[in-house]
Amino acid sequence: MKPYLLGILFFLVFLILSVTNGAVDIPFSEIVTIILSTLGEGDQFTQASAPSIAIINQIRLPHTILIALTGAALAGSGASFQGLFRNPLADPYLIGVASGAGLGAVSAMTLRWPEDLLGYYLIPTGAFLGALLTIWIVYRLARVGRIVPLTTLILAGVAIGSFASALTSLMMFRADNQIYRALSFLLGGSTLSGWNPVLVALSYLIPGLILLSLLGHKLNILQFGEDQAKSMGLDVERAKTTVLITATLTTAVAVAFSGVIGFIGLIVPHIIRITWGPDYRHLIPLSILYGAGALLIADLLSRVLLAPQSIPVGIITALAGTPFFLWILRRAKSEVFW
Amino acid sequence: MSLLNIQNISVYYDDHQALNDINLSLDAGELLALIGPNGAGKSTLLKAINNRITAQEGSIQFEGQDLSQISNSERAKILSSVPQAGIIGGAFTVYQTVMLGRTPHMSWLGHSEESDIEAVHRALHSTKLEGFANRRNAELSGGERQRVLLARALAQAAPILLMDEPTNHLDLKHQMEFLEYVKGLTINEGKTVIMALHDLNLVSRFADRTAILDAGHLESIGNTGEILNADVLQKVFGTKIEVFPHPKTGAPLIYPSASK
Repeated sequence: MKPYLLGILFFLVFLILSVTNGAVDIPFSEIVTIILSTLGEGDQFTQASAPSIAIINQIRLPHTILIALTGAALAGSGASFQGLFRNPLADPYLIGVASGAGLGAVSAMTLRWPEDLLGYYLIPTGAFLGALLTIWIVYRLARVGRIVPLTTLILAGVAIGSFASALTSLMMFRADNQIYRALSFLLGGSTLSGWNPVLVALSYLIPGLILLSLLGHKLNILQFGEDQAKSMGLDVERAKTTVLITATLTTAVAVAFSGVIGFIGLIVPHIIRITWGPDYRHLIPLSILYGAGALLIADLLSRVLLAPQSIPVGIITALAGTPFFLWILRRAKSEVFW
Repeated sequence: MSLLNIQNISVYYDDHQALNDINLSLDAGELLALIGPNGAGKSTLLKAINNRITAQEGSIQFEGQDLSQISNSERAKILSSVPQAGIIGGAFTVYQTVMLGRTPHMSWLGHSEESDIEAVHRALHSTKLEGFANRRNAELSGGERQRVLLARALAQAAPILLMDEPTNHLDLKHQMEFLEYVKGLTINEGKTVIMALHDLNLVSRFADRTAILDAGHLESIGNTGEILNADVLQKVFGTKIEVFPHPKTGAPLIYPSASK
């Protein structure tokens, strides 16, 4: 239970820091008052100023929750992809899924910029289709016989991911009036605000993340190779397809609302694997929990480092993630923790 | 009626015939060795029995039940397999690995019941791995790793065990320990074992019956003491082989005397 309690504590600390920090200085007591009032715990709005109420309720809270959901989704799907491909470097970003989802999301945005709930549902749908198509192509390209080696997976992922990114850029170039919004989206700066994206994301991610957490046992068996997994009674094809579709969907939803954010799906599961072992029944739910907190940290940094300007959070995760990636690459030679 | 009936099994890889009309039957408590040169079809036959590859012709029946018609999970309650010990799942502990053998008896989520925990403890105890429960697979020697895979198959509690060259990475002492233990399983627990083996002297020492495969067909099958004779072995392996009776037991001792 200790890793879970620590994780909840970690998450709550950065959740509070995220809501309390921003361009406008709002005292902590006022924030608490606003949130309690909104939740219906007393009518004390009179003590808070109208702009503060709007900032907390319409900007900071939905932004914080969306960032936490994104971190949870990327880390949870990252852990699942790593288990599925039996490869510690299978990050949704590195294997091209995130870029494919980005292409799908931008296509959906170009088709119709979200103004109502239906428009918001269109983005993750586009992202999911883009991601699914990408992972299918990458998997086909990377497979050698019955296994998916590290090198071919990353090479195919980077190649197809770059191609998807290029198509996305081309599309943005054509739809010039939305170029700024789409560009900042691609860098992992959430351009969609308010509660609509949060509600849509929640409706996908709650079932998606619960399902991924429940697939841990099947991923454990898959770590021993498909042949042995079958001998142990696993319906290998069905298990792989379920993990693949669920992880792709959660990645796509994260990308649809927060843009392409790399490395969270790589760093968080890796640290958890080193600290608490490879059992996917815990690795996935813990990645989800710590992923939420980790992306909140990156988001806080992105807002604080060059304040009052905020940097797209994807830049922060890439800056922190690249050295980490190289470190894993060196360690991967020993394979002991895999 | 036999426990396992393999009838008219043929397997084709594209236009190459890997197995040609194989017929075998096994009783409970038997240790059957599969021998033959490389590419004779030993591994293919084991895979066909375990439904890892689909035989285009023929059927495999367990107590009259066609094994190709049941789910992976049901099949895993009948057949378990002990692969060669490679480093795989290195980060998992011995206990976690052996517990995975309980998968066919577990619910969808892999939640372990009291009966699963008992089965794992029994398997760890009988393979002398109790002291290793919390060690990671990557930290084990080849012999220990092979015992873990055997313990996992035992936890699976299937009546038939399939083994493909299980002693490949083991030294002589560990080969003997492993095979003595497996032999004990057939005698004491009535397990049925089908094992592909290269070392003919180990076959002679442990197998009740031996099946000789050559280029995908069953050359001969029978009691090990009768099957291992110089004429058949020379023909199948294409090398000069002498066979002597062991001075005490009379079991055949195989001595390859020249390559031509």
